[in-house]
Amino acid sequence: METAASSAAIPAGVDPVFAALHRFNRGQYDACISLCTALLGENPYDQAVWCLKCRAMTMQAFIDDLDFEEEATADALLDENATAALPRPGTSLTRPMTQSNAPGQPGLGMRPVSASGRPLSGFARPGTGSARPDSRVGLSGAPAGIRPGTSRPMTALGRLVRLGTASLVAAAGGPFINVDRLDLRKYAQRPALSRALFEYLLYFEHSPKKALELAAHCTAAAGYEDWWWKERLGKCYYQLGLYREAERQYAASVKTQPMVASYLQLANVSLRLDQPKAALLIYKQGAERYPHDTALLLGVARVHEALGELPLAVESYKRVAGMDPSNVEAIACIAANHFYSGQPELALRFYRRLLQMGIRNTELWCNLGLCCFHSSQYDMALSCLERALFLASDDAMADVWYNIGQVAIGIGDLGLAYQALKVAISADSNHAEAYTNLGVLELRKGNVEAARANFRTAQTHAPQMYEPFYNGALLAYNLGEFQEAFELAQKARDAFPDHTDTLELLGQLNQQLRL
Amino acid sequence: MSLFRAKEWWSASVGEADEVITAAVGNFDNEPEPALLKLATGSLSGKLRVYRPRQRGYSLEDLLLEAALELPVLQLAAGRLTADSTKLTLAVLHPRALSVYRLVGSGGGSDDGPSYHALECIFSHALERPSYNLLVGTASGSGDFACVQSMDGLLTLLEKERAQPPCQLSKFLLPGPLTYCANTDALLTFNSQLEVDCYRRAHFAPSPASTHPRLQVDWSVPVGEHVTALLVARLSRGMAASQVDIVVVAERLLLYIKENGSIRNQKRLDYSACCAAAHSVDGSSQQRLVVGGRTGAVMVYSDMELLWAARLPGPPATLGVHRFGQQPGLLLSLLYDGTTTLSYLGTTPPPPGAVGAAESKQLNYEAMDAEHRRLLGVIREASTTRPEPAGGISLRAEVPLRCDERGSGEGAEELPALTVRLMAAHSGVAPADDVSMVASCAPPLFLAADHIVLPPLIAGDPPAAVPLVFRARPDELPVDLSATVVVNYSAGGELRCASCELRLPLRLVADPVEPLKTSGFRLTIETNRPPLPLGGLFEDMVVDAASAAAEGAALSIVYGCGLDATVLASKKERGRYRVCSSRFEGLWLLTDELVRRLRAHGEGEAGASDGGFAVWYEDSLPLREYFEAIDDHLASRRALVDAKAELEQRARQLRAVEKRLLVRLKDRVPAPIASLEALLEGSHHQLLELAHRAEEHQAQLRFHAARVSAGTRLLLLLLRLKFRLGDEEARLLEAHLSPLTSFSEEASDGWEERTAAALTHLLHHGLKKRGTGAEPSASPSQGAQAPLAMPADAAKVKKSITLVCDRLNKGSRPGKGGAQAAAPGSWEPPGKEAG
Repeated sequence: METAASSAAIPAGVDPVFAALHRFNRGQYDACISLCTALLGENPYDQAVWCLKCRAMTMQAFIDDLDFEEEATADALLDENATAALPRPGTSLTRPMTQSNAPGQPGLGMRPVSASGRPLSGFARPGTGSARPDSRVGLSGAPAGIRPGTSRPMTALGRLVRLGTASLVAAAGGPFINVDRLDLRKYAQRPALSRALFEYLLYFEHSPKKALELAAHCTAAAGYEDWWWKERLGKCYYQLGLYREAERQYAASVKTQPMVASYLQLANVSLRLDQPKAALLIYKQGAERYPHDTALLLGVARVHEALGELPLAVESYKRVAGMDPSNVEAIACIAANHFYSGQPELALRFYRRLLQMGIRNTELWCNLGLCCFHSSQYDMALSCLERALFLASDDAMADVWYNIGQVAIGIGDLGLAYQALKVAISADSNHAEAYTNLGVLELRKGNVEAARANFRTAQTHAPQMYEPFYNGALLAYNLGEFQEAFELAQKARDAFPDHTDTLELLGQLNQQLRL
Repeated sequence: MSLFRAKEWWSASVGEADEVITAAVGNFDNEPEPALLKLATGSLSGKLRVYRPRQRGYSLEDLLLEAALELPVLQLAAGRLTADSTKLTLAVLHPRALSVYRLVGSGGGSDDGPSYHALECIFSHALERPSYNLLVGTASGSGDFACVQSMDGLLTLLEKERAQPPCQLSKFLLPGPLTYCANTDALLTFNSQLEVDCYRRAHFAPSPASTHPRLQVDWSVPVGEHVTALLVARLSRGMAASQVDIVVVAERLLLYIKENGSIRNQKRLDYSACCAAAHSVDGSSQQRLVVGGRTGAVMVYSDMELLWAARLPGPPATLGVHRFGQQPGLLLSLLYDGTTTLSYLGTTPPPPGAVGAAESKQLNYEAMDAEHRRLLGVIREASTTRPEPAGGISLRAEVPLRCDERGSGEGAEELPALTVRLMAAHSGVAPADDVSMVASCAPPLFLAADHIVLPPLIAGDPPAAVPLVFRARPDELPVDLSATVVVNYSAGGELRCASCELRLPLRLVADPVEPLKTSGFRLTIETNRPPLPLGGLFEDMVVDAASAAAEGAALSIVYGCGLDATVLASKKERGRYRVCSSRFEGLWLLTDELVRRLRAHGEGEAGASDGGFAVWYEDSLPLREYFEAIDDHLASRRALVDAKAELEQRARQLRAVEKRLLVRLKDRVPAPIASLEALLEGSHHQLLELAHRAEEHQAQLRFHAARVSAGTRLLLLLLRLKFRLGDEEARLLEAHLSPLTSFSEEASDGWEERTAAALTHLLHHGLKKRGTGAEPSASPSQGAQAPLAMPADAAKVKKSITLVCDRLNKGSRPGKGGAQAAAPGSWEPPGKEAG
């Protein structure tokens, strides 16, 4: 209620509508809304104030929905839009290229993959961590989130629903607009009000059905010539899960007036339909029309990265960084690529730039530490990792400890490595990488059974990693259990078809089993 | 802590937060050389201040004037608005008036310029509607003009101190930013339909028809977002000298529009923009754009490429780039909190210690070493297996020798019941909480309640007595009389457990009868003591006192399933006992009981001179009978598998018939049923019959499994007695020749193949012939054995058992002696998994 009190103190002689508009322009939406509420109490039929309040409430609840977002579990499980059950490699997000075509670029052996089998990105954004249920994880594994046990999955419609419920609580004294009693046809005749109302319905009420109805009336009233209404129609259809209709509307909108937002959303539809090549085409069309827009170029880079076409992705990221040198995503991804292609010194420079830009978080310090370590600056490496630990939250803690273990293995302090990996597992009991390395350490200590158990845990938690399978296979081979070794080696080959050691082991096993 | 921050050059706090909303820059007092720029700020409380920043840092002399205008100042603008178009004036917009002032300096005359400044109002124009904003534009040719937009969309133009009648904007709801494009002599504004509209100034003609003529829109561009700033500047590269960009800065969009209203270029912004300004660069016709974000970031763009990003202390309300004093290119920002700052862009290295890598503190290696040692000690202590702490729950079972009185249990319970009182005493310091007790026994024995939760136990209290009621199903042959009780509890936050093994009395599963004369299967146990009277040995099994007299030489019992067994003691000097039964499997339990009781009795009498009491078995092993049981078991398994296969086939047939019948019934043009119903009924009957048969086979299998289990146990006992195996050797042998014939519905976990594999392993590794020496360890082919499958006949397992007996006869023993050659860790008895 403090905001209401302070907003009530309008300096003498200032028009109250001016004051409200002034608050709106400064982004003080609470103050603006309370001023508008007071004004509407005096004159409920003031269209200008109504429109302003509508807009302020929309801005409060606004979410930039142009980014590709996490797919909700229910959507993913009930998705009927998949076009091919077994797409060719490189044409689907579920089957990225597993081998790098360009010489000198890191293959899967160097660069780890995410749970969905795509190469790990340098930047955590919504959608990168989610595994499509039809890729590897079955129906049973799908609702478990990225890291089972540590994160909960997205509910249907993602963040929209939750924010919607929270905003309703805030609106004391009943909702501002009684949506059910609106005569949408009447509003369609008033272009200014209809736009404000539409945004309110979509972003504040989260009622895409009602918004769709309004948009349909309005686009008809505008003679099907307004790109904005078409784009909004597409937005409604997209939120309702009608991707084909959304695609048609976005395409029509782009035809009327090419806007960056429309391109981005059109590409999102393609991505949702698992057609990355089509999305790439759309991004590139947009980038041709508006060559200075970084969002489109980032889209190109993200799709290339998800498909495993890393050289193309990096090229696009570099263009983004050239146009916008403070783009964190581009810098982080270039750095990650340098790191995984064996140039930690270069990666270090990029990460240092991020540090200079004022980013301080666990992940950055951890990456800095690793870069320092791999470029032989051991003293700095440990102090960076210490800082990472200092800043780490619970979910990042395990990764930091895992990396400390990695560094310890590198400097030969196996005792420290063992303890660090144990701590990593205690922080996150599903940390498959830590289990794998712990297994190797156990094997060195001669604890064959413990090593096997660790490998097996890693295998169940991260079926996308080939290391635990290969290690398990090698161990089984050395124990003389050829059947198990053969099965595990085959799984390792599925995860990483070009792993030379796996192929060699399989060859030996084939020979042995034939005898 | 970003390195990229706007560095403060000059700053002044000009009023309260949210009050100061506008600033204007110009040489308002028309100072001749050096024509220093003045900075004017206005606030809603009517304060007007004029500053003259000259050098780095704020000084008192910088404030030229502070005036209270008594009316709120909505906007300030610099322009040549008087008739004398050479003099720069300051236009001040009040809610209902536009006033134009001149700044007059007087006095002084030194290098510092005038020492005293005053504000002089040149003219003031009253406005009929509340005003929103003010635009001062310079039209090519006709000089400056002012344009005031009112809250309800009236535009009033003022030229040369003269106001034109106001015109009404079309499509108006809320006022938006206003700008002027001199190239096309047009006013641009943003309307509530999220469009940028262009109005020709030529259309602002007074109309006799109405007082407020409605203006015609020249063109309009839908932007689709709320626009926060509109400017006209030359930003795009490669434009002709006469062209300009109309720059639209929306919430998340940067849009360049051509003069004709078509979109030239656009870019999504990944921050929320709130204000913008354009500025020229020396020696270039291309201007640059400065955009401020709501987070306080300032972005400098050339065309649409980001040149620099810096951070201000707070979000700016107004931005500008000007030359103050002798310093060109200073960034003017009026922040929301009411401070006016002139800043420059640049970086200075952060102070030492801000970046982790730069810290140069001396590392204390001794302290680190000591800490490391301490931690290692903690780890070692945690990882070594500590002994179980003293104190805790101890269990003691009171097993009665006789069953409860019939009918003492609730309901009409026909089965004999035995109540064991379990005493749980606690001796730890901390009380034991969450005490739960689980008891288990082998079928056909069962417990009425096998899981009991106890109240917390406190040391020193009398032990808690828990009654456990055991019963036996009469339809099966019992083979195992042992039961286990486990208690889980937490004492002082630590989870602990205690367990107790108990042996149930024979009386529970067998009833004594008059001695029988049976001539079935028999075996003889020998001891080195004179025979004991059986009545004393089996005092709990004596039928009654009367017959007890006749006892001493023979004792018979009948198991719950009706099978009988008899034990006879020899009348001679040597202690020989004969156990006989009408069936082979009936021997086991009684023999076991007999040997146990003999041992207990023998150990009870102390002080024997001849090396203690001994029990042994001399005769040949009853392998033939045992193998018969195995054959029966395997045949029964096979029969069950066959029955199930047939059942499955019939079920499929039934479904097929059903489906066909349904299709015919649902058909619109029904075809004749053609005795399908008879087929359905027949299949159904067959199915029921087969199901019954499968059930019978299951019962058969259970019966034979009990037989094999009893036989195996008996064989193990006899092997032990015959070859005088030690406890460890007997344990190993039992682990391989497992008596656990786990009966499962699928009959897949077959005892025969499992035992055959285990015994083969034993023969290879643990039970080698004496003197053959160490063979090469585990040959790889062993690991790659085919998965176990049900064998066609029991020849393999029989052969293995015979071989094992043979080897034992020849003196080889399982365990350490024979197992030397095997790998130390890999000697895992496979039979153990069967439990």
